[in-house]
Amino acid sequence: MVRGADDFPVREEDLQAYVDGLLDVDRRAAIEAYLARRPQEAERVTSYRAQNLLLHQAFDAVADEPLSAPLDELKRRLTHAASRRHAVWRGARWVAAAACVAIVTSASWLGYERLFSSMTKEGPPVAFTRLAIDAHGLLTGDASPPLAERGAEGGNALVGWLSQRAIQAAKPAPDLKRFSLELGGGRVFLLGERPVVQLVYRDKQQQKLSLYLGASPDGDHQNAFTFVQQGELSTFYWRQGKLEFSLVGRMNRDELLAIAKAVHDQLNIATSGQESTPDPGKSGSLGSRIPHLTDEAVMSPGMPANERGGVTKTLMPPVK
Amino acid sequence: MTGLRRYAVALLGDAIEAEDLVQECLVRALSRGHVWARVRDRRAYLFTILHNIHVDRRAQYRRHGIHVPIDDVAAQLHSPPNQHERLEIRDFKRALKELPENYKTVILLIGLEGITYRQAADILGVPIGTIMSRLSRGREMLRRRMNGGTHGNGGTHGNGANAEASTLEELPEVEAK
Repeated sequence: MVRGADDFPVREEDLQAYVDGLLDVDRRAAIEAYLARRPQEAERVTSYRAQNLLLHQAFDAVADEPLSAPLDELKRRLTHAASRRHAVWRGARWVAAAACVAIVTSASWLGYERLFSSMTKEGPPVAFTRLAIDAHGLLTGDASPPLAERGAEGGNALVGWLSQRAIQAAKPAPDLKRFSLELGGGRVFLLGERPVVQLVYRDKQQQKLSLYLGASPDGDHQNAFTFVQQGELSTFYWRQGKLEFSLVGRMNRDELLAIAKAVHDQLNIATSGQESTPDPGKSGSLGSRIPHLTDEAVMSPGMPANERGGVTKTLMPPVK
Repeated sequence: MTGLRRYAVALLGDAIEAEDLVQECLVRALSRGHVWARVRDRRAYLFTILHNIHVDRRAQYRRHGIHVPIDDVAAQLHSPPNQHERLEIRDFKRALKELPENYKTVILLIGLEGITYRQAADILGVPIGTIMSRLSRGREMLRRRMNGGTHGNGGTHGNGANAEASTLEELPEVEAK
């Protein structure tokens, strides 16, 4: 074990996590300072990062090939099996979702968030970015359920709903037409216990870009854009007032940053000058305003298979 | 699901074997409909099934003495090398193919499929510390092979390869934070 820039012990697993873009900003900076003074280590780490890129260059073509007839049929049946069983759970999920909203509104948004932020080992930016990358992977994979809300109207409804509860101002989904990106739709995820809205944009080549919005657990904050590269996926994370964002796409850093800035600017006008104290009377009826929180919309992509539990359990933690 | 096939192709080095493996995986998932319906992370679930089938098959090959590494067969069946494929990628694929499977699975799940360390541990049924040490060693083996094995270009010190190898062996099997 060796000492890093600020006397951080730098372990091998930190370097690996750095390679995979899993470190938070501070830790990453420490590793970079550490590597700056150790050219051999830097060379090694750079070569590991190159391996990740090479993996994609070598095998991504496979993912683009059409499925064989048997695989296609199996996929169809699996999708069907999932949705059929979902029907059984739909009622339970609705109740759970409604309960979740009730808890959030009664326990107050920030208090609730603090309660649960201590349960996650990763810092919020890391957790949020991981969710975004995982969810984006799910979305672009074939196994993903259809979007809960289609088209720009659906996206606007979801962003309006989330921004209403976070900053008391219903905002429309960011307009990215000048990047030739059309809003395809959106859906709601749960990150831990808090809803996160995913918006999906597509360009003319049907390349997808996801924007995630969540209500920031630590309240008001502004921070710089944080860039994470995982394989070919680039992610920008930033916070803006009470909202936090992750932008995920298969594009280079500069392209994605330009889009991130556009999103930031469009929502910036929104977050400033709209600060007001929550109105309990208003938030009490939020449940009814969730736009189509269907079973497809409620899912936790980041949860390992063996930690899965009943939906109700996940949605309704023991809150006092 | 395309990620599943990509992973299988990368693991086995052969599209036909991979197709077969993914098919069996999906059939098994379908046969456990009650589980499938409740699984939250379907992707990790499918990877777990895929891995289990793969391990079973390897064990079967060994039991029945058909000790033909799939990779060797794959070399014969493999589609003719793409002339346009960059030399670097071809070298990389070769280096990957020679990697012991325990390391290959971890590198592919994490580096190619973006599976988290925790999920990889669940999928492969090993502690997260093992994942970390396999990842570290596997990437280092790959790097050396890409560098030509004998000469590390990261500045050679004293007794070169031996010193590096022993350093690698000393890497602790770290546990989860």
